Amino acid sequence: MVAAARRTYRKKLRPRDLDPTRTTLAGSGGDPGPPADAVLMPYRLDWPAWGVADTVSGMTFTRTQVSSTLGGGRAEQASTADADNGDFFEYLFDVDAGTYSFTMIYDRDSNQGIVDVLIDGVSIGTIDTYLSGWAPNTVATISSVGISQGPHTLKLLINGKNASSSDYRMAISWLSLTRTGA
Amino acid sequence: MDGPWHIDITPWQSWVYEAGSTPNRYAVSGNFGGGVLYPNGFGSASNEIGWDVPLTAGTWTITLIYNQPGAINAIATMKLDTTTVGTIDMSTGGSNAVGTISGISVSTDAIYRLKFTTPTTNTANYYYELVHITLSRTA
Repeated sequence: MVAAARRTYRKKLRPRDLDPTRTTLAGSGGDPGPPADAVLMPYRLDWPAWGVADTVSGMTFTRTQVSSTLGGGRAEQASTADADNGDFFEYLFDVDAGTYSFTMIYDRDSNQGIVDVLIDGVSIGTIDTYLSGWAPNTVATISSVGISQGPHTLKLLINGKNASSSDYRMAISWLSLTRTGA
Repeated sequence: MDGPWHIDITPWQSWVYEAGSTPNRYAVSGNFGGGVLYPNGFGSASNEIGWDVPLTAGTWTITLIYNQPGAINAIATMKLDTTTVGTIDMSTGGSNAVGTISGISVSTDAIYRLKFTTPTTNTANYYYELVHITLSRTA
């Protein structure tokens, strides 16, 4: 059991100083800002897909080091034989309520599937990762995603494939959620 | 209380605490993240590196990705503030090896100092090459 720490969030973080949306400091007659005991969450979550996935299904979550990809690696199935429709991995995250933009950096290739991006089990968009040849560091953005305050799941699910693709693989390098509005 | 469920640390980017010798950054194309943090010489039992992390009460796992360039690595002892939460023997594994410490119980929401230390070894040295650290809440 970890002993109580020296200081808490509330003492450490001062919302009026840190809230990047504020245009007027508290006490100056404008927006009073969040309550003094509010807990601030980052406005940007940014993580390597190859780090740690919380839930994996239908596949072996495999970290592959690739020098030519941003972030130096990717998360993928272990092999073509390991890749099937319905494979997914999932991350837990926690944000303040707001509108977010989701960005995924990934490889495209001739054997890759369509990635369905789901938050709390609800699809926010699909990304066809098929291309006739290998193309690392492709960027896809899904904007205007409303997310409520609290913990959530982000699932990357193989949901079908392009008719030209030979398999259901996926290769994801980096993920981010950036808050764009209230 | 709300808080992050995943905290990813790129060790070579920055740190807030060190003891012993100052660690060094090195770009390595064969590593996740493109670089490592490593000690002077073959390391020392007194070396420590720290990052401040906001943890909510719950159960956490620490995942450490490291290089094992030869039989020279130390055993990593990970601490939250002054409490040891587990060890990872880095003397095996090769490049981008993965070690985990699971079932870490955090009782109080707070900012903790995560410390990577190398007080013991199974080799003749106390070397390390840190690639990436993730703290993930599991319950």
